[in-house]
Amino acid sequence: MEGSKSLSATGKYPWLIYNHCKGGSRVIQTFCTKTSTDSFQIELKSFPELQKNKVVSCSQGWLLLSDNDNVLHYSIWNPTASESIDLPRLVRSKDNKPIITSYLLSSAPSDPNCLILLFPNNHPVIIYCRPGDEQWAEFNYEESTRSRSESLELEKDDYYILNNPVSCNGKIYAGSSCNRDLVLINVDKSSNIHSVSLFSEVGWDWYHSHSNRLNTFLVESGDQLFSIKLCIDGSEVNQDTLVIEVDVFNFVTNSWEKVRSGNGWAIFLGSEYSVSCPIPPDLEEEFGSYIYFTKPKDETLYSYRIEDETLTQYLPCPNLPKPWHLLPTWIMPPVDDDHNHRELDIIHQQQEFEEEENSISGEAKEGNLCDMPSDIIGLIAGNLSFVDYINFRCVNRLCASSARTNNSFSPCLVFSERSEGVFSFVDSNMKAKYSVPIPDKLRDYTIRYSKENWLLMDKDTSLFAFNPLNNETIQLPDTPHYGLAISSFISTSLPSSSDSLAIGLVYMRSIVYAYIIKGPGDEDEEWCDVELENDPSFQPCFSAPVFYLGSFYYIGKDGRLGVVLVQDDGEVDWRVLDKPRPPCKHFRQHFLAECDGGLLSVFLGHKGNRGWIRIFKLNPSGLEEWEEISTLGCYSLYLSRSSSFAAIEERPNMANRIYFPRFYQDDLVYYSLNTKKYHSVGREDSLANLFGTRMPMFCAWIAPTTRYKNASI
Amino acid sequence: MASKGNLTLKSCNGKEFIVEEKVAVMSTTIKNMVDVDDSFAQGVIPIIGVDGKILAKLIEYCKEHAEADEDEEVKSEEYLKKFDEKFVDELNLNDLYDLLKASNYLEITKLLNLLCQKVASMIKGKKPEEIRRIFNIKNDFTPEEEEEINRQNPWAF
Repeated sequence: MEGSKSLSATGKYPWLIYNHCKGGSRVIQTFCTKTSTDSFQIELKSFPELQKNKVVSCSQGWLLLSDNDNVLHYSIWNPTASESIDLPRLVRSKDNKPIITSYLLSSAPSDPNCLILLFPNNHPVIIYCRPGDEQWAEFNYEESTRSRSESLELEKDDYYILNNPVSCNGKIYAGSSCNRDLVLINVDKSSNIHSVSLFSEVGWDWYHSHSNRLNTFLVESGDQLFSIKLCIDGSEVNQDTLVIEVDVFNFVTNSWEKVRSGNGWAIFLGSEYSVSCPIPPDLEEEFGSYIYFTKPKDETLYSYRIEDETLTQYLPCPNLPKPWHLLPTWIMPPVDDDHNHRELDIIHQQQEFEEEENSISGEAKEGNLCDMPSDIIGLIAGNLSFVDYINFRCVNRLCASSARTNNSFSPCLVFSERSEGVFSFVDSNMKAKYSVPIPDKLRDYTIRYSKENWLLMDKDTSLFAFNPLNNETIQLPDTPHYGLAISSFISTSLPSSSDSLAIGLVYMRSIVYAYIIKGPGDEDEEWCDVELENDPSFQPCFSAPVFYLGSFYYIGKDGRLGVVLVQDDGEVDWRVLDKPRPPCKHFRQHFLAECDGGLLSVFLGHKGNRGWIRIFKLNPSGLEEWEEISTLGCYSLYLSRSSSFAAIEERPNMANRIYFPRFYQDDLVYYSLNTKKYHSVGREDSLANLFGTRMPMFCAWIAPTTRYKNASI
Repeated sequence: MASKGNLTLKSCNGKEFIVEEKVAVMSTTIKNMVDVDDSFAQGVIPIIGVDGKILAKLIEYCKEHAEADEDEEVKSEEYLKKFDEKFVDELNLNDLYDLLKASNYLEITKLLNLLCQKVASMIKGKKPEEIRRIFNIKNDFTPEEEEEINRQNPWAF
């Protein structure tokens, strides 16, 4: 149903517009905006202005519109005030048609300095005008940027092109096609562009390089200039966001600085432009800075929290009429002034888990726990999570020698909280979160793989194995190439073991590079780099591989399997398997794991806001066909992008679960094959789907084992 | 042996409790005694090392659980969970120790597990020094031993 012809009153958050056709060519827009942490206000409307025009820039409630059919016509429009200003028609000869790819409306048209700028990607010019001008002016920046483009050794016919324009503190900046520079566009008093100057050519520091494709956004937020890079896996469907890098420009040192905690603003990334707004304090459950973005062919809204590097997904419009436009657009309504100048240092009451006062601890303390028979001490120890057990062992001699009644600890999800400088561990069995300081030398390293207690961490080509249980680190040999994205690591056994074989895989369409090392813990060893032919239709999936029956299995975007086989003589073979065929379609995420002697694949998808999950097993006898299963028996699965495995659960009520690296509030999320529902650890009620749950970008499951020397103490 | 009769349990300080057999045999130790020797079923069963106060607590626990085992409709899982929570929350430290020892000796597995979980929950998130304080435990490590064990523990910062 269509609502009124204007948007609701000014909101605190921008509106997200999905364009879709209904009954022929009529374009309907679905507008949605956040009204609280988990809910969205949705309005269905049809604006004639948005039917034939595309929104290409936005400033203080005003939108710059570009004609869809005829890219030579532009106008600015205010949807709240229903005001519109036509801009001069762009005149171009046929052989010199500019292909405009970046746009900027620098401020509201009431501002005397308001400029409209267009940036073609085939000419080094800026086309610009003021509202009310009769024609467009043009500034050619080829001369101003000549020395820089020469130093970049651009190929012939390849211009140094400006893009990503942004207005910040009354000045206009732009990025460059080489993704590294920040350029200042100098405007004189009569609003003419007279020069452009290179402001900074310092590249960005990377936590690591994961991906071959990168989307860069420049955004003004709270008078600061931010650069946001989304590293994506480069595939057409189910595009995975692998890394999000956020930098802020320091105008004093003229350099980009990594942002580990934001300024309390929310940033909304769009394909044409990005907007930002202060986060209304009443809407946030947790203090933090958020980046919202969408993906092609995906109606999901993603929100990234800078402070803890977690990604949450929402489905703002579960019943979006089809078909809808590929990428939705943000519209920022005019913001009330008092929101613009919100104090940034608001102290938020963080919801801390308050330990309940124990009625016991306050009273008489004559007794001593260690007067207890040692089998009781062992029983108590058997009920402790691994961190508590480690602390318990430090209490005294009896506790140090206590034998646990069960041998295994429940697996923990580990992830780094760089802004806090800690690794956090969350127990899959009980509501318990622990942290341990990140060793200084591993501060900027990223978790890539895990095996038992060990984490494999990388930064560029540098690699470390780290055991967070006893703080042991092993430096591993550097990987062969800088700048190539290693999609996954896997190791056959612990880094300290000499017969361990580790593999890192790099996909380059028709080529797969396999980096292979034997006994990575040995400092004399080196990675050997093997080039293998790939079927280009096999797109990589950034999901953990599995070592199974002597081969390394990888699952592709379409659900097919690829196999690396390393022969005893060092010969390496890569094959994409025709069989088994992918067992299902239209999934959004999938995982591979070994369970009870068979290979398992888990597929997740959703229809509207109803999530589904399917599990398939490949039996070692045939390896020909996936067979759907409905139970894991006495096992539970622990899935993540960096490592997935199955573990036997001693307690039957803990078995038959699939744990995800996701949190509902502060609790881990799992799917129970008994109840056929999603739950979170420590809660009785169930979740309808995974929307609204948060995922740390870099995390892994570890299955703690305590292999202490049988201490005499 | 009277299969549905009552049993008399006698604490170490002479207090006697008459309980239904189904309640008493929640304890594997008592169950074995009456199964083997019929005279226990008729006479008084001495519960060595358990005083009246603790024995009363044990009986209170076993009564609730025995009734629940018999008829699930009267006492739901939900009800038992709440009962268990309240039961352990009301204990002081000495009662907790005594009940641990008694339920271990009498082999009341459900209760023993419940109590061990309670102790574990009190240890949860605590540093070694705090654990010693809560449970009144003396640190008997030599300085060398303590250094060695702390070296292995990155969590005690």
